[in-house]
Amino acid sequence: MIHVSELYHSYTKDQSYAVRGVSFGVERGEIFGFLGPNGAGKSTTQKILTGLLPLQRGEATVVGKDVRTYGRELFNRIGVSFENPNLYRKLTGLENLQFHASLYDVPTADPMTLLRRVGLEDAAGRRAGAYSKGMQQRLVFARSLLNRPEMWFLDEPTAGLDPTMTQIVKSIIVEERERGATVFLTTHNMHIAEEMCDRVAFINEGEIVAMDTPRNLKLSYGNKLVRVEYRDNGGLHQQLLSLTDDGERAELQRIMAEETVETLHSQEATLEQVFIKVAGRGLQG
Amino acid sequence: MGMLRRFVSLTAKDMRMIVRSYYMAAVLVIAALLIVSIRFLIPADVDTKPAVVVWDNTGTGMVRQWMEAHAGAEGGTLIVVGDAAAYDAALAVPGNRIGIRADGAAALQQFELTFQGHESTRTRRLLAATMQQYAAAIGGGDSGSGSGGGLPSFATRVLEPDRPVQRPPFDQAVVPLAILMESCMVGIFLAAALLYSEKEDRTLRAYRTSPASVAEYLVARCVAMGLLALISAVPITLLTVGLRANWPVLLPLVFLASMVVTAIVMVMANLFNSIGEFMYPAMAMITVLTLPGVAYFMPSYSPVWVRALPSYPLVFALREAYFPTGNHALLTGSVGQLLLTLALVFPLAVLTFRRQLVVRDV
Repeated sequence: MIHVSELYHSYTKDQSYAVRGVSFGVERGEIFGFLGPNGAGKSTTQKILTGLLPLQRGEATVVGKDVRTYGRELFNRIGVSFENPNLYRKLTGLENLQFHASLYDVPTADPMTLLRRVGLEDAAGRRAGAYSKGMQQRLVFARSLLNRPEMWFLDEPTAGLDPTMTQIVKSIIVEERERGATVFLTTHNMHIAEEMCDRVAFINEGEIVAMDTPRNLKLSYGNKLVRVEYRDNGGLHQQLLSLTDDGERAELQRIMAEETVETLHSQEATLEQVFIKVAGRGLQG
Repeated sequence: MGMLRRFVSLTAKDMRMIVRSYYMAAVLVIAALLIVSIRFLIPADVDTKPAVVVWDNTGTGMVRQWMEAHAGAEGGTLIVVGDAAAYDAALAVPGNRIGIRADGAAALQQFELTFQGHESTRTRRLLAATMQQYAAAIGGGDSGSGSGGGLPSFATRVLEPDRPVQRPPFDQAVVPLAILMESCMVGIFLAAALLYSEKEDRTLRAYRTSPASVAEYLVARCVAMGLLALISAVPITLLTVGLRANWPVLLPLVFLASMVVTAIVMVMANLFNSIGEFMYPAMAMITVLTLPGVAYFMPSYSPVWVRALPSYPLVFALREAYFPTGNHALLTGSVGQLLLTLALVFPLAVLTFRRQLVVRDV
């Protein structure tokens, strides 16, 4: 659904690149996570793919169409949810969706149904300017679903949402994938990516530094750890032991054999830890 | 069908934004102020011709009679006095007065013209020429003989002598100018204000990820401003000149003019980042486009560059729509110029708009 090869972009049109030599592909029906800290080049890449920025150098196709030449009709097949709410503040939530629905040439989803899906049915008649940031974010998210997109670009879809709404948004993403949508998920939230993405790409300072399934990345770059709590001489002790280190593995076997074990948890590396390892900085940076 | 649906939806969205941003209320308040001014503050008759004080000291009364006949025919004010004291007193009254004193016998009349000082050279020469014409008539000479002392004579032929001369009252004559400044130029600030609010809310970015085009967006914006112009023009017209305007001409003319102004604004507004920055060029645009209003009241002021402005034929076409004289050339000329301007400016608006959207990523 997406093919990107040797993508470069400079806002200053010189050798200062926001995106440098980025290449990746996204298969139909996949949830592809694009992870990186702020300013890493995530949004620039998404803007090029959605036609908001011109392609300066490299190749990029979306739904089989070259982004340099695709016409406006392609947007009947694409949905875009933005990180920052961009709504008509003087229009109600329902009017915002009705207006955007009228722009498409394909059958669209019922705006009220979409509002219900994101928990905004009670606020449908209120002006978007009176919505909280989280409500505006949900409205933008719902708007991107109007044309039942084949290719769905999501930029930080859970930013500013409470845990309940985050869960609802995540379940909608999964439902849409099951419907057949391909999802390009741009985020710096490692938990979302880890939980939802089939594959992730780490982007740092404009370059992709790692790309694989979350599991493979964790296996490749992380340590297998076990956290064990046990009682010894009446006191409660806790240790974090590596399963790949012979000495620590022997210590774990000793504890299991000689001490009273209270709890035992496997500790995989998180995607953030993997990112820090490959990029030398955190995702929140 | 998709294009038509998008156009209707875009226009409806713009109208909602106009109403909910109180732009419509502002336009109606200004219209109300104009109506009140035209109806109650601007006088129906503003006579700019000077009153003429005549002292016929020739003893024959011929000058007085001639002046009465001519001043009466032209609707001017004539003050006849009988002595020097009354003559000086009449001219000393503050106001727009000039004096003609005639002395001497019938064949050797001498005239003294008295001016306040503010009169133009043109006015002074006109009065002098009038008195020369009188002298030539009294003397029985041929003023067109080319002797150098008289004036050429002209034969006048009137094709429709019974046709009534349409001279609207001054307050109503102001209406075309009011429509030009309020209705036709309503888009200068409001179209820009809408655009900048969309840039601020970044809604154009969302619009760009839909199948709708920049041209559709701009057409809808121009049409919305055209409708707003009509919403302003209709009550102003109804409550000042009433129903007797040529409505089938007036409404399309106002609508088209507002569209043209909006298209120009769409080109200009792309060059500035905020409504604050745009304010100064907008004021300059209003000033330039209303200059033909001067020519409207002072036809002698019509330099070529003023006549080249689309608002020049427009203000006269509006007058023709309000006070028809049968001069269809005024209407077709104005409509033609507006359409030509729109044909030139609209593609430019699409190009600059498309470029700005991408370059500035709004």
